[in-house]
Order: sequence, then structure tokens, then C-alpha cells
Amino acid sequence: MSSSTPLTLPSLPTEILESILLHLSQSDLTRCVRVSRVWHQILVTYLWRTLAIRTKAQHKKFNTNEAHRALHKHGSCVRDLYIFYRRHYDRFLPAKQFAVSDFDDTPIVVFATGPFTNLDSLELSHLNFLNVDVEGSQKILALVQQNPRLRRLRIDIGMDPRTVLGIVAKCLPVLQDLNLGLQWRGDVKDLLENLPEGIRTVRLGNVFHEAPGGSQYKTSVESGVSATTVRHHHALEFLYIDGDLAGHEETILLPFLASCSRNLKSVRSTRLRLFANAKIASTLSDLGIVSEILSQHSLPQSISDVDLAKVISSGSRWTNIELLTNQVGPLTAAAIVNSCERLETLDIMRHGARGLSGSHLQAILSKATPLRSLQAHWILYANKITASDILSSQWATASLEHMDLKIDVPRVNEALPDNNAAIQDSRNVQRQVLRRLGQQTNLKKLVIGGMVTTTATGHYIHQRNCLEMTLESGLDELVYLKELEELDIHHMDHRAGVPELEWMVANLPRLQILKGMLNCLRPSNAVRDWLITHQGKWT
Amino acid sequence: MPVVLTSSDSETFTVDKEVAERSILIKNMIEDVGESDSPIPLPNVSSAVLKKVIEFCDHHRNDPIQVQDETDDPRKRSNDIEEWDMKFMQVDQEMLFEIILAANYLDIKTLLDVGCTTVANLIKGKTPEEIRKLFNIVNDFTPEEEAQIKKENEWAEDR
Repeated sequence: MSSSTPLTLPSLPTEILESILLHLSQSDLTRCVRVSRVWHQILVTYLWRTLAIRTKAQHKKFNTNEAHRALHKHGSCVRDLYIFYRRHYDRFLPAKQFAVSDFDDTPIVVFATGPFTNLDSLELSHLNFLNVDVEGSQKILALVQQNPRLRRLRIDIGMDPRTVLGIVAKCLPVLQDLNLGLQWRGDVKDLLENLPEGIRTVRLGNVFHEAPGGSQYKTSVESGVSATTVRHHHALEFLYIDGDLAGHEETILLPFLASCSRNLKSVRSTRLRLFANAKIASTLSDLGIVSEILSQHSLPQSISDVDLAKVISSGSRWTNIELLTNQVGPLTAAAIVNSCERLETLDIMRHGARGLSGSHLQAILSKATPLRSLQAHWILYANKITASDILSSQWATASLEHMDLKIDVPRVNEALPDNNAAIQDSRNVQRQVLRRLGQQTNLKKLVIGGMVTTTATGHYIHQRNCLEMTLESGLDELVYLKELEELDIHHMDHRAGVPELEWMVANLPRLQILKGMLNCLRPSNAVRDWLITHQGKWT
Repeated sequence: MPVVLTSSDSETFTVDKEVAERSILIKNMIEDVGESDSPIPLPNVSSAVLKKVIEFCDHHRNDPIQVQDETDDPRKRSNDIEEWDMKFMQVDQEMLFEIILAANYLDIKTLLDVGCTTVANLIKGKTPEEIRKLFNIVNDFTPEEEAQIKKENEWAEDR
């Protein structure tokens, strides 16, 4: 401070400033830009890199004249754009204008430029799979056209994928990642053939094959399609395709796989039984690709624990296992643990899956580094994950987004005299469990609620040995879960009250769904009143 | 075999080779020049800063060298400063920024990371006024301008 040109934060070289900013959240940046003119000038472009209005509260704050003007000022800084709200389609898409043709004075439709021209990534979705009209579709295409540097494009709304591919081929030379989640019926063979050549990852989430009229495949073979018209997909590394190919798996996929190279590392589908088809499986195996998704659809209707365990042990590269069956016995459970290192999602929801215990779950959590989703929610009976399971070893995964299971912790009878020490011990354990969740995950959805059954009578009852979910017992350890959207604690003997609700409002900005505040063993009137006065806060 | 380093103000420091080679710049220089007794000049680093940098490299002499930036969640990374590093970074701001610049010039990734994280942690959760106070910055916005900037950007806030 004494030197003539004191070294200040904005005077650091840009690359250093950037690495500092990497550690700051967008929310921190909103405060930084208000510090001074210089800070504003430097930081505002970073603040506007990502424009993703996800919550109602954000939407409300965005819906001001100031924000509108800022959008037009800073729109060119936006690199990642996510459109979720129906109303934003109007605001974010280029406006329609009329111009007059140079040739014959007839009116033609053109689209104004902006506000976005530098997008790397564009994601369009709507919870209700919005169907867009012709004009909406034209506007979306205009937006895509105005952003020729797009590397990532995801469209989950109702648009014809052939139109999207047409525009991609024409305008997006560097597109690497295409994700079309919409449901579509049509010629899937044609769709695949027309994928752009430079593309690296493709997801087609919901395609239903309908062969084109007549015998088009035959004629094109007979007429001898010239080699130049066949696209190669040598850059393709990842293909996810799901839906129904109406029995044409071979005609559709074999020629497409022939157009790919050994860069192709992974082909996945949940509903298509690709690896059950000998020809496709052998083609994939020639490319070094093995099955990575195990789902109910790829298994016989009734399969024994022994056979299921064999299927699992025969593959070593499972990324997704979904078994909605009660055939998960001890052998299957052990097989899953043995081959879970690449597991991203595990979904074993049906109760009766008695083979998988808390220690198996803990083993999976401590081995499966890429694990994002763990759903193992059965009605609590003999099986559960206990606090001591959880705390027995470190977790390998730090990326859990969805967790749905029952957690059992030691609880003591608070009514008995002289057990303050025991209560404190229990709370300490609970805090450690919650700390693990807060610091080792990136949860969006946490479901730990649900009924349990008694061994004696088989009745469904509330879970008593559950987390208390109070600030005293460590709820505040969840403070890092800024992405948490859903918390489900129903049918638990939790003690969360008004202070906990207030804490959640202040600290969990994305929380939209909260279940079980009243649907618990001892619902409190204060909570009921709070929920009534804060109606609309949560569903 | 020790290495001799000379700071911008001509002070010399004799350090173990494995300590000096925490700096990729120095490591490359030694490889290029070969074993030599002549001191390595570091014209961009003052003796006060160089002393701190050597202290850091000495403490971390046995750490594995970080090759590639991990694409971890930055949020989690920033909570992750070791206690020793945190204490090491408890210096005045001028020195903090000098250390960061030196780490960048000398190419010592771990030190650069710790420095950047320290600055980010200073900023986190603070109001604009608190940040101004902290970095001794004059507010050159009119109240109206500041209110307008708040409105322009508050959609990006957490709450």
C-alpha cells in the first residue's frame, strides 16, 4: 500500500485473475462487480459466461428492465446458455423481422441478430417437452445459425431432428456434442447417416423407427449409392441411442457402425438390446466395445440370483445397472460390488431386493469413483445403510447427484433421564454422516424418507432410527449442497422445525421440493403454520 | 548438489536442487545449462518474496509434482487448503500478490493454486463494501449506478 503503484487484484495478469475467478461462484461475482468501475469492467464478462435461469426466484429477478438492458449489453459474453422457462424462449431467441426481397419486392422473413453470438454451449429444454410452432422453430434455428462456434447443443423440446441436423451440417462446423432428447418417429437409419462427420458424442434419447414408405433401402442399395455420399463418422467416440428400432436393429446399426472408426469407445442403450443381437454384438466387439448398461429390458423376465450374478460377473465395464427386480440376492449383490468401479448409476428400487446390504452399498460408494446416482430404496427391513457403514471408509465418489436410500443412525430415548451424553454421542454421529453428504457429494436430489416395516408384525411404521435433520444434529453440514433441488424426509421421526425451514430457505437456494415436514411421526403445529404463511415456497 | 539463486536485489540463496526444482522454470534452466556452479538470476523476484517461495518449496519438497490441472469442482477445491499452507499465506496483501506473481513466473503450480485459492477465499461471501475495505478500493460508483448494477446482475445470486 505504501508503494507508488500498489499491486491490486485487478492489476494481476489476466490468466492469474482467471484462476482466482475459477474459485468464485457466479453469486460471488455479482457482489464483486459492484466494488468499483474497474472491477465491473473486468469481471462482468465472467459473470455473464453462464446464463441459466433455473429457479422461480431467479426468474423473478431476471424479469426487470435493468436485467433486460443488461442482457443486450452483455449477451455477447454468454458462452453457456440454458433455456428452461417457456417465457424465456421469447426473450432469448432472435426477433422476427420482415424485409423485402431484392428481386421482386416480396416480403421475406429475417431474424434480428442477438443478443447471443458467442455461444459454446446451448441447452433448450422444457419440463413439459414444449412443442414449438413453426415460428418458434425458425427462431431457434436462427439462434443456432448466429452461433457458429457452438460445440455443444442439447435440444429436448419438440423439434424435428432432421431440421436440427440440416442446420448443424450447414452452420456448426465445430460441433462436438449433440444431445436430442425429444421423442421422434421416423427413419432412424437416415437420421444416423446424416449425423455430422466431425461429431464426437451423440445422444438420441427417444427415437422410434418408422421405415419410410416403399422399399427405399433396397433401391438405394441396387442403385449403388456412390461412396462420396456416404458420411464417415470417424471422430465419433460415444453413441447413446434409445427408443425402439422396430426390429430393424441390424439394417440400421450395422451400416452406421461401419461408418465409425476405432475412436468409437462406447455404445449405450437402455431399452435396445444391442448386445443381445449376435451380429451387432460382434461388430461392437470388433471395435473393442462391450456392454456397459444392464437394465431390466436386457434380461429374461424371471432370472435367478445365480444367473443374474453370472451376467454381472461376465462384464467388467458396467456404467449403469438398473434392476427393478426382487432377484437381487447375495450372489448378485457380491457380483455388483466386484464389478462396480466404472459404475455411474445404480438403481435397485423394488423392495424385496434383500441381498444388498448396507455394507454392500458402502463398498460400492467406496469403489465407484464416477457414481452419480444411487437408488437403493426398499422398505427398510433387515437391510439398510447404517451410520457406521457410512463412516467405516472414505467414499471414492465425489459426484453423487441423486441418492435415494435409508440411513439408520443410533438414536436414544430423549425422555429418559440422565442420557444427555448418549444424546450428544448420537448427534455427533449424525453430524458426521451429514458432513459426508455435504462435503463428498453434489446432490440435487436426496431421498432418505419412507416407511419401514417391523420384523415382528410386518406393519409399516415410521422410521425411528433416522437422522433428526436438526441444526443441532448437523443439518448445517449440508450448506455446500447449493444444487440441491429435492429433499424427501417423509415417514421419519425427524425433528426438523421452523429454525430448520428458515435455514433451508437461507442456505439451499435451489431447493424446490421438500417432502415430509408434516408427514412424519410428530408433526408440529409451528411447522404447519410456517408452511401456510410461506405457501408456494416449496411443493 | 545445491543450487544458487540470485534475487532482483542481488541477494543470493543456496538451496537443495530438489527444492529449487519445485519450480519448473528453474528445473528447465538446470536441464538446459547442465550442472554448473554459477548462480541462476531471477530478475523478477525480490529477496523478500524469494525467501517465502523457498520456504514453501522446502516444506513441499517431497510432494508429488502436479502434472495436470484436475478438473475438480472449484468449490470443493477452495476449501481444501492445508493448515500449513493457510498459515504460510497469512501475509499482507502486497506480499500475497507478489507470491502469486512469483509462483506464476517460476512456474510452481501448487503455490499458484494455494495463492489463488487464498485470494478467492478472502472474497467469498463478502459484500461489495467489505471487499472494498479489504483491498483498499475507492467506490467510484454513484449510489444510483451501484443500485442499477445490482439490479442488472442479481439474477445470478444464490438467493
